[in-house]
Amino acid sequence: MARAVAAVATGQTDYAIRKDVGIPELIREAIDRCLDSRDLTLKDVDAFILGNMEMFEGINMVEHWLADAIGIGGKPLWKLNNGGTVGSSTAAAAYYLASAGFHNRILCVGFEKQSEGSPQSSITTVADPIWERSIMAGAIGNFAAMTSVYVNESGVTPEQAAKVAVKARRNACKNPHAQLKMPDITVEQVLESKMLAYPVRMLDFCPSSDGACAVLFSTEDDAKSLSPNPAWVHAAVTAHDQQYMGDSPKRLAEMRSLIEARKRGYAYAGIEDPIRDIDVAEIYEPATYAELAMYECLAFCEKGGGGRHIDSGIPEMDGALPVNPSGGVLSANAVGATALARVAEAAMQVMGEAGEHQIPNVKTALATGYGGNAWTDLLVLRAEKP
Amino acid sequence: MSEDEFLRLPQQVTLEYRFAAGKYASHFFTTLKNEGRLLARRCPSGHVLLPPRPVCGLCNLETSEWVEVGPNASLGGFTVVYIPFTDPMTGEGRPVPYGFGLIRFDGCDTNVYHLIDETDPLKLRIGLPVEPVWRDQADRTGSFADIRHFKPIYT
Amino acid sequence: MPLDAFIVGIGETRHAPQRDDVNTTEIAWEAVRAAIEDAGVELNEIEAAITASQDFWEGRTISSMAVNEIAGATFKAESKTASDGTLALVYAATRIAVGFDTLMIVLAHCKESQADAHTVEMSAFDPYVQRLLDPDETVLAGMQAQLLDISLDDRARVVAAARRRSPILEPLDAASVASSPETSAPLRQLERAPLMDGAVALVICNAAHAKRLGRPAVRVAGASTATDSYWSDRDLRSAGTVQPAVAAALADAGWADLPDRVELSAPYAHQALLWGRALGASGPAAFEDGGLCATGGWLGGRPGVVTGLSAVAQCARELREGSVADGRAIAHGTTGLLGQSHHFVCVEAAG
Repeated sequence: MARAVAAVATGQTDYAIRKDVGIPELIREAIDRCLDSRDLTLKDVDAFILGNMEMFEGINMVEHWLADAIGIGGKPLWKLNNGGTVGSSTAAAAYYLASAGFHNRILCVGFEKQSEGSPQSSITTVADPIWERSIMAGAIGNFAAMTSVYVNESGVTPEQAAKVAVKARRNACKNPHAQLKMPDITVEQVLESKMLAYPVRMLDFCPSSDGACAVLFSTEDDAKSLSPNPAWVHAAVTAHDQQYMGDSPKRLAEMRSLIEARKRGYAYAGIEDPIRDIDVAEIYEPATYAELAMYECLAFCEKGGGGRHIDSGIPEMDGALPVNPSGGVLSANAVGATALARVAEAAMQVMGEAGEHQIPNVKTALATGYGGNAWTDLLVLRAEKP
Repeated sequence: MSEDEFLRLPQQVTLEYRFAAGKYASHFFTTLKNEGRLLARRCPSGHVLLPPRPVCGLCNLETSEWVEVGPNASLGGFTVVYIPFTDPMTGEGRPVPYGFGLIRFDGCDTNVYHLIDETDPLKLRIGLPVEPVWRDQADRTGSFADIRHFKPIYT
Repeated sequence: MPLDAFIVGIGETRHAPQRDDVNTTEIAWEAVRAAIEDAGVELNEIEAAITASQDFWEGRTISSMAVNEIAGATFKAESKTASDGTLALVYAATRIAVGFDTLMIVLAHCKESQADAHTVEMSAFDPYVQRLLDPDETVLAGMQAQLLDISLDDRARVVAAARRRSPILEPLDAASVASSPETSAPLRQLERAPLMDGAVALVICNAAHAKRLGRPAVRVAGASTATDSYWSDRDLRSAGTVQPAVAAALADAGWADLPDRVELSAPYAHQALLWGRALGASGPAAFEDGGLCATGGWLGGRPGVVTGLSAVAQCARELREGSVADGRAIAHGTTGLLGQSHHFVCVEAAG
């Protein structure tokens, strides 16, 4: 029988440009915070899964170099590097490995030290070398072109997108780890910020951070002894799309991988009415327009209704389904960590450990990862054991 | 220690690669370069895919034939980019602003990213007809950059 | 709980030092297509894929982007382990074991000919101190070989055995190996496996599906993975985690002892001997008589990332044919400089 698996502890570094730590110290900060929170040490961990986009920092097999920083001592060490989704993919891998009984206590660590690498060259290597690299415009140009399709389909306005930016940076003020805390940010400020690639402005887009996140997973055999309120995994779904960047015609407007993952994830977790059945969502929104589109793909609102959804107040912290009380990716983005941070934040909400940005009475939390070639991970975490 | 006291160790890693274009790309780029024609792959279900590839992901069948698409096209998506970007192929900065977007060749089911010869985003729209502007034959190398950019056809 | 996944399809490309006729997507498709044909399933039926590739060898961040369509994962799940292919199989098997997926592709692929091996390997060295020396894995391997008491003659015999047994590379005699140019003393050029392009794919499924397919299947009975300290923090004379990893794999499979059929993956001849020793084999005879690396292993011509999965594939083929006396085999893969991580997969004839 498959064992039930739960997140039992989390730890994050502050997301910022970190000149004071190298990568080994950065990940140990997150790991130590995670383990210290439960009076555990590395000796209590059975296996490790590291997630990192190693071409960003230019360190091949970086997890093997870091083995001693995490006290490996002959234990299993896994490494995933699936792009933006890597963090949540490590969580999904932990779920399967633990559920099948292959490992017991698994520490997932996602990290990125983007200030150390050359992000532009690294992003260039995401493009297919034969087909896509010769014509490139970086992540923002790429994203903005997709946004035009979404705007055309949905009619969302720059003001509605700006509201997402305002929500994120104000929420971030209640998250000690977030990089962009802007208590006084206004829609006007967003609309006046520098245009990066039409229609995406500076304040519409996520920052580039250094950071690490650690989440400890364990099984029903000892989760309750490790954490007073484990966050049980009820679904861990991954979905992809076609292979090349231009393949999905309505990539943001109808994010096929997210829609697919949502259908399967909700079915596994028994979610029928998201607003009613989900108490909080931590989604991977690389930009404001993406969040609006994701409301639709996650069935938080009807197709085309993303703009009306942010207008309604439902995704605000005091709304019926708060989205990204942590400030989300718009407030902190260290690629290898970011999707795991969504899982960590969702787990914290279930465990009642989100501090100032805690949403009351969270029974069910949703976490999503986005990255690669419009890929999606989707996890559902609950206070109740499956 | 104060922030200034922490060292940064600069380092350059130069990774060189020699990518085999493979069966589909070789045929595509040779035809593009020598004949200025665009060849996509059609699968048994009728999906026409660019870049051409061995398997159609929409139906999980091997693609079965070559089919010419374009050269005329329409915009599947667009933007104008204002931030500097280093062209990975030349190492030089691309002049900003520049138009960029998703190009759907007539007859094709997928889009490809390319440059657009327009810097006023308000003139662009989804579905706008565009046509490729080719580099001179002598300057072509067998890549998507053999098309210099796409020119909007305003009526 | 047991891993309990069944290998019902095996596909392996024509490995070669330079497959210029195919790009990454195409070489991986070659393996996947062969695997699904072997299994008698359609790509459409595949529910998920786990792949293995290394971004630095591929020259691409998120190198799995090149293969998700051909692995049947459009709109479905695919994850990539950045490791030897054996771990992709283990991860996939856990998804089958918990009942989440019933039919999957496992894929490992690499086109080593496309990269500059020296820089790829150099990038795996500590960036603060070690890289300034511009090292690569052969330099380390040379250092390691200096510390070991393994003669050039024995090492050359291992390579000759691998070449003789390999269906991929031309035979070489020990004398040619021993007289090949020195690379990093005391190592000779031909003691290191050549760079190769290739891919291996498996179709795996649960018991019910295997029964429905009605073809001879091979059961994944257990596995293990164990990682040692980074090369500069450990004793290079030891076989590292080979011994504990194999013990853990046997325990996971519930096997009392090591099967006769062992397929070891080692890129350098002296490592083949060192790790072989940890498995109870002494000297090159175990490689010459086929006790380890019966088809040559890594030295016999497989790309590194693919080698472990190729070892599984080879064992699986033999188990299906019924040519393994006690119906059990153990395949080995390794990841990291100088065998920092070792992985073992136990497979047995099913039904």
